[in-house]
Amino acid sequence: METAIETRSPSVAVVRFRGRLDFLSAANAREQFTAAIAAGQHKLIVDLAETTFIDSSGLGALVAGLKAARQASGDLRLARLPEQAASVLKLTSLDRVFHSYSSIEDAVATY
Amino acid sequence: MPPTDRPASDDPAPATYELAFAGNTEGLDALHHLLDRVWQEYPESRRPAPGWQAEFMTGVGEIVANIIRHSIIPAQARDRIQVHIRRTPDLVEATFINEGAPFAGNLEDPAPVFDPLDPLALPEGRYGLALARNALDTLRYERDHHGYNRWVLGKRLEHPESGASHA
Repeated sequence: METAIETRSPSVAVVRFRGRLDFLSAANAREQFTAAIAAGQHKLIVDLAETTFIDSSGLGALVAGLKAARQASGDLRLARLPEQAASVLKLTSLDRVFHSYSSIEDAVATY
Repeated sequence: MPPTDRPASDDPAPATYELAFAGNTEGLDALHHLLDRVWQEYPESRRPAPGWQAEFMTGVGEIVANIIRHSIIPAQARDRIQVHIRRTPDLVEATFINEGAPFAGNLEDPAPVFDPLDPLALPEGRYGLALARNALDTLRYERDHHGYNRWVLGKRLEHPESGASHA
């Protein structure tokens, strides 16, 4: 899995995961969130447009990122969910927890 | 559920697919490509909807992750997982077989309970088995006395003429 982080402002960053966010890459995703929050970017938008697959470990990484961001008085929001990611959120009822947006700009505008 | 009045000529012929893959990135790539091939080889009019495909892959992904993380013995000859996929007009069934440690969990493990209004208390794990159960119609595990594990995952295809969509 490849990760890219785009800074939108001192406190807002877009994190993009390209490939599978699964048990092999979840630890790396958690590290990315931790590093971004430590750098002051506690308002995160995770762009999942190019995330081809997410499993429960990847989901756990998103949950961990959400908790860490909230503890830093920020948030973690999702954008451009593919079908499979949306399905995983719905099947676990975590669609009731994460705010999701159809575009990056819509998500950025909420901060 | 028996077929209703859809034209028999629209039904894809039953087919089987097989793959032996390692529990690493390349192996998972091969498994994902195989499933893509299964969907593509359906006649377009009978192809499962993207949402249905996504759920099936979700169930597969959870069980394969469980096998790789808890059953496979790395760097040994027994690090391959065999998958047999059977496709009929009404069902897709994937059977995963590996030689390794037995499944020590509980297939009926409940999903974590959480309050959506209290995200700081959200569990960060234990979603996997419930996720697989919710994504699939069939989830069975067996272990034989030769030390082989066998997981059977199935999902029924619902046809438009039955009043439900493929999704």
